[in-house]
Amino acid sequence: VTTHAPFASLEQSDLAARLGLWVFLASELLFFGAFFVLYAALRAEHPAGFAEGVAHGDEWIGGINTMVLLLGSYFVASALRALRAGHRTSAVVRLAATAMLACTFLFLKGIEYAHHIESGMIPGAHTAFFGPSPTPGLASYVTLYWITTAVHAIHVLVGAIVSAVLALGCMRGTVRAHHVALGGLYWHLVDVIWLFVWPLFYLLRGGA
Amino acid sequence: MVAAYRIELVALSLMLLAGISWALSHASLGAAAVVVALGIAAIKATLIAVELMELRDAPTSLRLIAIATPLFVLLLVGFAWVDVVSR
Repeated sequence: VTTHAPFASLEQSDLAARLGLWVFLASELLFFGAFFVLYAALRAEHPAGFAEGVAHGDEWIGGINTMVLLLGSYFVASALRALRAGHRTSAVVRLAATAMLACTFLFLKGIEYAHHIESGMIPGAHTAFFGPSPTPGLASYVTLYWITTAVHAIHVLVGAIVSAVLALGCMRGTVRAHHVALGGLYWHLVDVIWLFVWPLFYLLRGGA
Repeated sequence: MVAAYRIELVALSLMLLAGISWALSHASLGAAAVVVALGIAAIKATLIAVELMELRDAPTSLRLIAIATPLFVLLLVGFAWVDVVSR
């Protein structure tokens, strides 16, 4: 019995794992798709409330965090390239950099959340932020903003843990390029989802 | 030479596109702003999927998942949006 049983070869086992991960990523995308559907329907119904909500986002934190995630994608992809070329130390450093960037993203997002809580921009519409007669749709926006970005932030946290575990495994020699490729796929998906979350919750300040 | 720095080129392109998205968010594009912002996001997502997620060299089964899933999301979003604006 080989270590890759029930598969005929290690290659076949790796491909099966890759296919399984892609199916998992597809389910993740459909999960976030529900938030995007809600956003489309609610924004179409309450364009002014959503535009007002987006204007309350911290443009700089949103923009910097986008660059942070893109840089993370670069490091995880270049870690895989380094490992394939046999440069294990370089791969460790790059994976550790990805984990650090994920922590940076979460730190900045935490600062933004603290500001929101301070100003009362929290789900429920019972704070002074909303005033006596809030713009229709603003409360829905705030709830959707928190749910979408918080669920995404949890994914970034998982991405940080995966990158750190891969860096450690790489250092000990227990991780192959295949494992880094799988971890990288997860990180890239988290990045791709943010690339849509960013314009919806930070950039589209107009009333359209 | 270009192939050796492929990942770097993709990363730079992604950051450049992100910068364009950010800059355009300050332009008065009206109703086109949504299309422009999400269009650029789609280009960035495609770049990541094809190059960094290595769909370029992936078997057809993986490509099928990567193409079908966002299309399903797009359909759902489209139906939800049309339902509201056509009332």
